Amino acid sequence: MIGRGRNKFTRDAGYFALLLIGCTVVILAPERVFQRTPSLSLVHAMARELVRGHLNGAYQGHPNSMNASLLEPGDVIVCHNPGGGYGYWTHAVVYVGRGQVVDANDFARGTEVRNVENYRFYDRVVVLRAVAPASVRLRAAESALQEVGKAYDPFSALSDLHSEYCSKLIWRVYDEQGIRLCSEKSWVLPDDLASSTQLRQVACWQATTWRGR
Amino acid sequence: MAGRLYRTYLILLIASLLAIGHVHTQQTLSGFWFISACSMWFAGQRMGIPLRQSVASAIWFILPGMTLTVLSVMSAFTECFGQWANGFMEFWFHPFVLLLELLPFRRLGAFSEVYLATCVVPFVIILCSVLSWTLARMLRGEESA
Repeated sequence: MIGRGRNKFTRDAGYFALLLIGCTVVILAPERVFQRTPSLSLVHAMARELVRGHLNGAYQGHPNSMNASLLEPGDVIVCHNPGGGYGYWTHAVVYVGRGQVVDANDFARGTEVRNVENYRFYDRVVVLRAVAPASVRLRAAESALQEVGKAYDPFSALSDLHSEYCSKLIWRVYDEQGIRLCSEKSWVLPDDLASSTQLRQVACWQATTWRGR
Repeated sequence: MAGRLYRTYLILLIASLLAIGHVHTQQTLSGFWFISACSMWFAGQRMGIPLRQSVASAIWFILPGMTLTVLSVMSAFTECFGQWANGFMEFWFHPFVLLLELLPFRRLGAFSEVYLATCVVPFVIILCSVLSWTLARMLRGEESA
C-alpha cells in the first residue's frame, strides 16, 4: 500500500518536473520560434517578463501633468508605466465625459466607471482621438458605458461579448461604430491602439521626472 | 484521484490558453473537463473509496485555488499583493470563469459578480462533493435495506 502511494507520488512529481522543464524551455526559447503565431509570441513575451516580476508596469511615484479639460467623450487614453510585460503602453481607457472613464483592468472590479484623475498616477499618458465626427465618438462613449458591470477577462476573444479587458473594450466600442482601430486578432493590446491610423494624438502628459523607458 | 484531477486540469489550462481567441473551443474543453471530473468522482464512489479520502482529494485539488482566493480577497481590502493575486486567481479559475461569464452581468458593491462567483467556487466544490457522497450513501443504504 505504502509502495503504491510512493509510486503515485513519484509519478506526480515526474509530471510536475516535466511541466516545470517545459515552462523553462518555453521561456528560454528564442523569440523567432513563436513569431508565426502572434498569441504564442505574446504568451512567450509575457512569461519572460513575469519571471522578472513585470506585468502591468510599475508607477515611479511622480504624477503626470494631465489636464482633463482637454478631453472629449470617446477619447482613448493610453497609459505607460515602465516595466510592462506586454508592450510599451500598459493600459488604455475610454473617456465618457463628466471627468469619468470606463476601465476594464481588474478581475475583482470588472468593467467600471472611474474618475479620470486616477490616471495621473502613470508615468506617461497620451490622449488619442478617433478620426471621426464628434457624434460617432459620443456613441462610442455611450456604448462603453453600456459595458459597465461586465467581467474582466484578459484571455477572452474579441468576439466574446460576456467579458472585457482594457484594449478590447475600446476596440469593440469603435468597431460597433464601423471604425476598426486595428485588425482583428487573438489579443488587442494598448500598443495596437497607440499605433492605430484611425486615431490621432491630441495630448501627451508625462511625469515631471520622466526619463523615458 | 487528486493527482489525476491536477494533471487533467493543468492540461485544460494549457489547452485553454492556446485556444485564446476561440471562445467556443475553450468552453467545449472546459465542459469536457467537468464531465470527466464528474465521471472520475462517480467511478471513485462505485469503487468504494471512503468519503473521507474522496473529500480529502477534492480539498487537495482545490487548495491552490482556495489559497489564491484568500490572497485575492485579502488584496481587495488591503492592496497588499497589488493585482497579482487577482491575476493568478483569474488564470487558475479561467475554465470556470468561462462558464460563470454566461451569468447575467452585474456589479455587487465594488466587486464584479463573476469575481464573487469565482470566490465561491472552491467552497461549492467541497459542498457538492460531500452532498453527492452523502446522497449516494443514502441511496445505497436504501438499496441494501
